[in-house]
Amino acid sequence: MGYVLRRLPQLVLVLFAVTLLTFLSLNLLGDPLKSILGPQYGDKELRAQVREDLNLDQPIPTRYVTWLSDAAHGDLGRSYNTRESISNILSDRIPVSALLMVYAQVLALGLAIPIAIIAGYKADSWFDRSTTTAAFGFVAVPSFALGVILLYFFAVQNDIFPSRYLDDSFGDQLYSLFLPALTLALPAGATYARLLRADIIRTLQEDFITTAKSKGVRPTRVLVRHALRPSSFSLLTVFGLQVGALLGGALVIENIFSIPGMGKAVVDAIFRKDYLVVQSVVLIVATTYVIVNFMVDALYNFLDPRVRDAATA
Amino acid sequence: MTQRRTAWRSVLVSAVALMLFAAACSSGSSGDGGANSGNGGGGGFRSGEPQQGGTLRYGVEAETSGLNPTTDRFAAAGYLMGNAVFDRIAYLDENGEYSPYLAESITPNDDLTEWTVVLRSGVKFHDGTLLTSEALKLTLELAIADPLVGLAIKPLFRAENPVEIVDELTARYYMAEPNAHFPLYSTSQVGFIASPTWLRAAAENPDLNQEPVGTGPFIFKSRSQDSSTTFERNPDWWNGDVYLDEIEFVVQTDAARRYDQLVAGELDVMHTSDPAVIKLVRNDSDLTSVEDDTGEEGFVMINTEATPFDDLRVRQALAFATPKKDYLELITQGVTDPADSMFHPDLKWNNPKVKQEADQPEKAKELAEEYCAENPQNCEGDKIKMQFKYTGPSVQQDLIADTLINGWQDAFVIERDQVLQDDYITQVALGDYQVVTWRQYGTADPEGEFVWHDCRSISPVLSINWTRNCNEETQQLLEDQRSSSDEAERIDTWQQISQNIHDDYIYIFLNHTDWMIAAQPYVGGGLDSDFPEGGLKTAASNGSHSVSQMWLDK
Amino acid sequence: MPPPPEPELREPLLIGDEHDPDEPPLPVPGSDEASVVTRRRLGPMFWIALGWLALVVALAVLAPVLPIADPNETLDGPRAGGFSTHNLLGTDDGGRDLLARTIWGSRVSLLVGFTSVAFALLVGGTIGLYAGFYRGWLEKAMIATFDIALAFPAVVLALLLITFLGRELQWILLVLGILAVAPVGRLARANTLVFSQREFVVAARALGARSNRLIWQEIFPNVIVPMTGLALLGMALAIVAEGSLAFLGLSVEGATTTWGKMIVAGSSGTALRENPLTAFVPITAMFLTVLALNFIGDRLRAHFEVRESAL
Repeated sequence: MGYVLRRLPQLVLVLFAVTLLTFLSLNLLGDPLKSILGPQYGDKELRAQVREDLNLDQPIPTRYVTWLSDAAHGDLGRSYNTRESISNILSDRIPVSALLMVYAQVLALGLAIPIAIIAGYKADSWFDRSTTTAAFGFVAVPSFALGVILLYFFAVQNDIFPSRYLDDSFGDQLYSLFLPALTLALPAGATYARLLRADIIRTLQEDFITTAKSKGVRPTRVLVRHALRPSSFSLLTVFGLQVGALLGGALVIENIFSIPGMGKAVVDAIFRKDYLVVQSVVLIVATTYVIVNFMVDALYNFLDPRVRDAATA
Repeated sequence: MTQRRTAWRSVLVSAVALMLFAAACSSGSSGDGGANSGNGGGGGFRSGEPQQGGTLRYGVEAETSGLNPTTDRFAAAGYLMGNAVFDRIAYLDENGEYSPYLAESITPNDDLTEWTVVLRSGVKFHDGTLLTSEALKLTLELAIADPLVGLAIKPLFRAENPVEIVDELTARYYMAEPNAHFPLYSTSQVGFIASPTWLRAAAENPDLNQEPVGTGPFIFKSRSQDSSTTFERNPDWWNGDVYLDEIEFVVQTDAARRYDQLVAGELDVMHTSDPAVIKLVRNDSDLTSVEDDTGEEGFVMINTEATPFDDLRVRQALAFATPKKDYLELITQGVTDPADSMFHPDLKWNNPKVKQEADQPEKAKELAEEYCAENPQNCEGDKIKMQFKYTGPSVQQDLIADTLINGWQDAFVIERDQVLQDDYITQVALGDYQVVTWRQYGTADPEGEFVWHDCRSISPVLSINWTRNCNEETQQLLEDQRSSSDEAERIDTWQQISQNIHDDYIYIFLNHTDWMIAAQPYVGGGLDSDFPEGGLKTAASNGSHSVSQMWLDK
Repeated sequence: MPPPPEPELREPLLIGDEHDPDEPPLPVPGSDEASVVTRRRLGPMFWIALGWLALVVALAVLAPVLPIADPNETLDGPRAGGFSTHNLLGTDDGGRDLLARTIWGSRVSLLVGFTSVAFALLVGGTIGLYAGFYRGWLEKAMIATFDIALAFPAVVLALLLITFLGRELQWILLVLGILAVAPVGRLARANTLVFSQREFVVAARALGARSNRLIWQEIFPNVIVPMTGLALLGMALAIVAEGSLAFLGLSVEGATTTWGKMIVAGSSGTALRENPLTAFVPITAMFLTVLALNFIGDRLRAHFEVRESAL
């Protein structure tokens, strides 16, 4: 708890910088009105309305504060292209994107942990060699390429998975999101597996393991209790960092698999030059990333006695 | 100056809207009906005794920004969903003639400046309110007030009180000038009549544009943008029975994926204008389909005010250099007919003598050499320097550009420039282009195409007459046909207009667009709408059709 | 305030690395052992990877003079054709030669890789060197700035910048360069910290050597060596980033062929069904190149690495 409190100012500072940058990006091209309205710029009434909605007559700091507090209350403004409120555009999509990402992380860990344990325990076996090679390969495959390949084999060649997003039930959601989640999970899982395997091999060589083994503790127990636990800390860190890669990757993958998440919204917005929507998506994704990483750090601190002790010392 | 410029830019928006409006007008075709028919858009799928119940899943090519006919631009998907939830004042039949639909009668005064619409009585909106002439007035007023949709129709009506309520069911529309074609407009997007209660609420809170309230065969149920929109049966529809319990429109932007879903049974019906997918469906004996290729035309458009294209020879050279054969092989893949003019050969308006020249690089080179000898400043050697704009990012548009440039480069040195869709229309309207690819036309009655050739649509800054070509003879012909209601005379006039457009070399016509509605064999019912008086009237066109009479027999 | 724990923890992500346990333990940076180990352990795979990269670079550079088709020439072969003597890797749905397109596409991918890393080395490397050498406020400011830059997921930051700047090649190069500055800068600083405390630097400083001379003549040559490993991994990331941008419609506009745009084209519509080569040829090219860069980068890094945690 103390750690969280001590780090809180830093979190606030980073959030401040991230939101400010996102906010200012709209002024990058000069007159934000032009960016927002595009071809409708000529409409005087609309211009006046946007000017009022966005408080464009006020100084930037005031505008930033208003914008941020509105956003914190769920009011992200209005798309001047469709006139729909941005919170309405995104409210259905955020849960879809979030589910996809959580699903991908679960799959990644579900694949990586057992594989890494077996590979680490039987280092240099054929299983170890083949999974290690595969992992190295998967780290190098761009997730979109993997998406295209999976799409080809499972959606074009066979009809094993539905090629559209179904949301009638949670089961349907998981079923229809399986391919996109797997696409994101394989490279992430490969990263986890490589890290975990190396860690486990290192731990297994340490004295206390040998002692435990000689005392007749069962190998699975040794692995789980003594080897996996310390390794989970470094896994946790990488996990937090992968969230960033997944957040970006999900935007891309959603477009390959036609998932109605934020990625689809952002591409439409880019094509329409609907900058306020782009800005909102960036705001949501970036703040999520910062906060998730903060929580991972806090959890890490809470779990790992070494860091905890060092911090209190 | 700034003031002036912004004013023009605001008018430009109307250009965008006009184009959409014109697309909106399009309907009808020379269909012979029946499944798997060639040109005809009429007819439907399985016939027999309609079955009650079931949910029909319809795969559409794009999401619509919203479902408010007074503020959202409707394309094919918008029209499909609009047809489910709204009814129009009038419908066009396959001969391009209108029939009153939500109206009982539509009658003009003698000099065609006033049109009186009498509505059917006892029709109820989904929110329980009664359909009255107030809805007509509010719909038109809101549409006119809208910056996008409005400017398309604003010029048609008088500025003050364009519509007045006569009594509870009667409204009178006042045209800006004598106009025989009011019914045509009332079959378009602005002919969709929505509940005044809802329209007012949506004006306050535009989020409600996503939850339409009309009088149509289906009631809005739920919507998740970019994914699906569901409507449920309207048990009290004024126009008879609706068979389906629900109809769900599913967005799948990739036509090939849409086809996969149809085959896998994830969808029951889909529409598409993608030639490769049309071919797949044609070869798939497990599916039924209806096609219609009387809609829009794809063509190359030239700005006649931009040097070097202000010279007729250069425009001719571009036409001669155009690799139409390659284009038809790669882009339309033999699925749709090559176009020679803005009218499909099956349409009565078509002038069979008009032929689009292309694929004659030698002729193009001769013309280019001749031009370059006189104007070396616009040339590189014997080749004319030109700029070609196209929209993107799009895989298909890149391929079209590559294809055309491969032919043109025999006589031209081409600088290509890819522009985002929004900017594209803006730049074309501002005259900031030399050559572009374009898709337009397809109105059942060519009156809807008047504006593209109207000399009055040209201005030094912004021009809805995109090619900025004013042909005085054409102008006279256009005006003649507007005030005439004699069909034979109008056909003659339009055939002459076609010839003039060809002779001016402002367009290089490439292909007619083929729209296909494909369905599983268990889908039944007409794509046409049953009229209270009986008989099938409207045909599927430009990818949309009536959905009220569809049914499922799984 | 103690330095936040993220920097050393974040490092593995950006370079996706941990070293192989069956390799010898990490040599002490700069020691003789390092060079010996390097020579001994590169292995045949290293040379195969290097050979592939050399081939790709050579083809990209020579593309204008190679006897290959014009990449935008439609109907150079049949529509969606397979392998043939005229079109070695087949054709796409426009009858365009896939080999020619892949080679021309590699020019953009390699350019993106080179310039982004060069930019990052120039800007991030310099900042890192000075920050690591002088410490103090400069270092604090650098860490703070890089923390903020890294608080954005890379694709999202690129998306934000390119949406506002435009899709011209120069902006895409610049944005991908900016993305690489923070991780490169961090590693440069970490290495500088280590080397500024080594005997030869301390000694030179005691002899009154000027700071600039120290930085560029003593520290820089030592720092740049381990940085090459990271640079190669950075190139791989930039090449992948171009592909991601293509799927968001934000890759280089117009006629320019890129691997990312080719993969998008190959996976949309009926292309994948008609001729899977349309997608699989550029995917294979990109995958092998990224794999080779990762492999070489990994090997180099394993031998020259300095961990911040080792400080």
